[in-house]
Amino acid sequence: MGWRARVRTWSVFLVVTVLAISLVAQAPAGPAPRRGGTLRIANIGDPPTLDMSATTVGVTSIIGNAIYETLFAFDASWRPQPHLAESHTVSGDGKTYTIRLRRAVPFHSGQEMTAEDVAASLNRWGKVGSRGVTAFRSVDSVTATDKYTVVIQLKEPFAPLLAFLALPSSAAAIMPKEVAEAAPAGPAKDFIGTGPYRFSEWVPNRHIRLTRFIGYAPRSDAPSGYAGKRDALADELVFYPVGSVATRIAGVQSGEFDIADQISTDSYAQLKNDPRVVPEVSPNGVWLVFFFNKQSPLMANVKLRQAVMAALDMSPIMQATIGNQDLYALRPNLYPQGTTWYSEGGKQWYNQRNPERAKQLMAEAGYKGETVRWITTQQFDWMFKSSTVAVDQLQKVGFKMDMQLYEWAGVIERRAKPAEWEIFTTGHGFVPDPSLIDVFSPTYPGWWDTPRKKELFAEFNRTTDPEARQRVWQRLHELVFTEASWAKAGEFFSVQLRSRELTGYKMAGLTSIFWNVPAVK
Amino acid sequence: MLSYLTGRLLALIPVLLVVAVVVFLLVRSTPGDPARVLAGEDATPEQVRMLRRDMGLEGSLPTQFAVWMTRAVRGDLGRSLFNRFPVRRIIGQHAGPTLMLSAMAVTVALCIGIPLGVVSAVYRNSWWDQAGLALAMLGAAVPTFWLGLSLIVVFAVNLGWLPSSGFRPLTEGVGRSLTYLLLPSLTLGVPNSALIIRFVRSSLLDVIATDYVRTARAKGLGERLVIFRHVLRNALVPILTVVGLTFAALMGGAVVTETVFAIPGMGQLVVSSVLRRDYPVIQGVTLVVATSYVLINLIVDLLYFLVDPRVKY
Repeated sequence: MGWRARVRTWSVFLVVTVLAISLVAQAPAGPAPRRGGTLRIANIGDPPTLDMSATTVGVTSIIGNAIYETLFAFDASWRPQPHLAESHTVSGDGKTYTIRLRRAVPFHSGQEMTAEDVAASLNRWGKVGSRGVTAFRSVDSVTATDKYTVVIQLKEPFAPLLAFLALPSSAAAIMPKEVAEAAPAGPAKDFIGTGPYRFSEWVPNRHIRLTRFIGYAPRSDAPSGYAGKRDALADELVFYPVGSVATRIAGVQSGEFDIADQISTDSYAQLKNDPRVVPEVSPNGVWLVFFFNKQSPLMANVKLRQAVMAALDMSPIMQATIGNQDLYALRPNLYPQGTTWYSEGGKQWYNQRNPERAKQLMAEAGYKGETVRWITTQQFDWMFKSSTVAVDQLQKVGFKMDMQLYEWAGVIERRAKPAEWEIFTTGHGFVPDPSLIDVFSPTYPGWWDTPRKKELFAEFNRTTDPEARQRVWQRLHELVFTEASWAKAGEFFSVQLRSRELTGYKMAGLTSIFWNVPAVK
Repeated sequence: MLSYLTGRLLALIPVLLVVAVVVFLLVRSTPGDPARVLAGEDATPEQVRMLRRDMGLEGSLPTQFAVWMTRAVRGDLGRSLFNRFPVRRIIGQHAGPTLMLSAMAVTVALCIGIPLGVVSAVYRNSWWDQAGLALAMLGAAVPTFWLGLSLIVVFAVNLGWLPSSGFRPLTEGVGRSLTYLLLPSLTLGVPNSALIIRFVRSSLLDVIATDYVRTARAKGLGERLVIFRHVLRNALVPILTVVGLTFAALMGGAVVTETVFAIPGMGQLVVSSVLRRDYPVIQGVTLVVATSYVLINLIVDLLYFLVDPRVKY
């Protein structure tokens, strides 16, 4: 073969090889996800509003999370990642955050998101959102310095700022400036965001319909937790308020719904064997906690609070409340082992079940048989059941107890009046950063505001170095127990139910994710 | 007749005024603040104050009542404190499902109650009569919640014949709408039929014992003719009263059934509004329910005029 022929042969071989490689590289890894259809979700009820900034109500977050987006979003490891932000820098003193926004991100109304919209949204959040109010104690100003740059000026370093900005509850949701300015003190009247779904229709107590936002500008990075690419695979999301848990379950079994939120733990074992459905257990637990009113003359006494903690046997409390042992855990640590914020500080104070020690502490506290008022509600039966067992245990060691039942609205109101209660029951959902835990807020009922706590918490928030912050957290975690700010009974895991035909859906740790999920029908 | 009608309608005004005042005071004296419910557990006192101002809850009670009443007499019942939708629109959206459910439930109750009541009365003291009375007792005793869930399990979950819950308006198809209401109307209709069975039986027995019925039989009229033309027609007045009261009560909202079947009716609306302390909605719904109660009673009274020629207005 002449040299020309050899060159020709090798050239053809090379071209064919390159072509083959490029074809293989472009070939999809698997079948493209199915698009279309309607995802039907049964919630526990109608939300009070869809404005995610104005409330911490769970149903609002579940639905609003598909409409609104935030500057940052938590990835699968609970690290805040840029979402509507493109990038950010922090000044050397930790007091100036310069956030550069992604460009060409449209609102559902069609207009482009700019720094003015972001600044207006954040300034509003600082007034109407409870998380915003907390964050803004450290914020001096939020300004738009150019079309795509927002500067947050802090009074002092505030390490959890990005976590506050990323949290999808009482969220720093970004909305058009005119929408934010039209609702300076209460919920927004128009629900316009940048999310993969837009608000379409709300018929109270019947349904809320969201439709795919055609102009949505997704991120290109791979999905991770709440961060990364969001793809509206279903054409529509329809949320139905279904107050009866049995009806929610029956709805998924009969194919009326694809997902049902908050299934009773009693049904879990039976539903695991139902071939039509799959119960999904939340990866993160809800802490069942009994808050002490530190402004009450009785519970201002740390010895008496410690006496309560010593008396309580958490095992029967959790058993009576949840039942199925797969769905609760008895552990003092606020964060699971293996996570950044795991700590065993103070564990010796947890689940002591020591009546003798309790009586001793009661004597040291000078307890003379005064009435301890415990407020709770039957509206959430886990609050009622846990309170009933705990009150009984305290009575057995000599406390004079008065368990008072109200509707949840009544509990919230009464709880705001320090003169009217000593202990109340509530649940605290998982939060990715300990700064977000309610017990540390001095204005949260319970009013834990000792000098030591103030000092440690301020240090925790000021410390920007992650390892140093971790060390402060260990001490703070222990203080929660030694100063008996609350009594943690345990953790329970909420359960959702989904149709077995629904693929690609997993229960998320904070609020539900309905993007990247193909509909069944 | 016209003066009677006018008098009855004018009597509505003091009734509604009393209802408005009582409900206004009652909801505001109940523990629970709508601002706190909306803002959430960890809202600061300043946030709550700001929200209360935004909701118009900061003035004195007489001022708040005067503002609300001034708008209400013009037909403006205000807006929900939460979703900010007009109360009139919210009520309208919920009244439709309740109206449909009530009508179907009453139809079911009549379809079961009248035949069984007639059979019980005609075959008095026979085993037909005992069976009818037993069914009436069973219907009255069975818990609505249990009956509804049982129907869902059988017909929706296991057989898949009917939807498990929800509501579809007539605009989505009459047939489709009715399939969603079938199980809930059975759930409501069966217990309500119990009362109708007893009333029909008792009312018929009173009329069967009268002279003119004996005369009709003596004249040789067939039993079916005697029962359906003479006896039943004359026994209708008390039956009409029961049906009217039943319908009026259902229009107030069958809360348990609406909850089990997730029907967005007046009962659900009242419960959700009360739990949240959505004052304008609670007040608006109460006024509407009170009005409908009075009007339904008026319609029943007017129907007496049609049914009983002795009644004159």
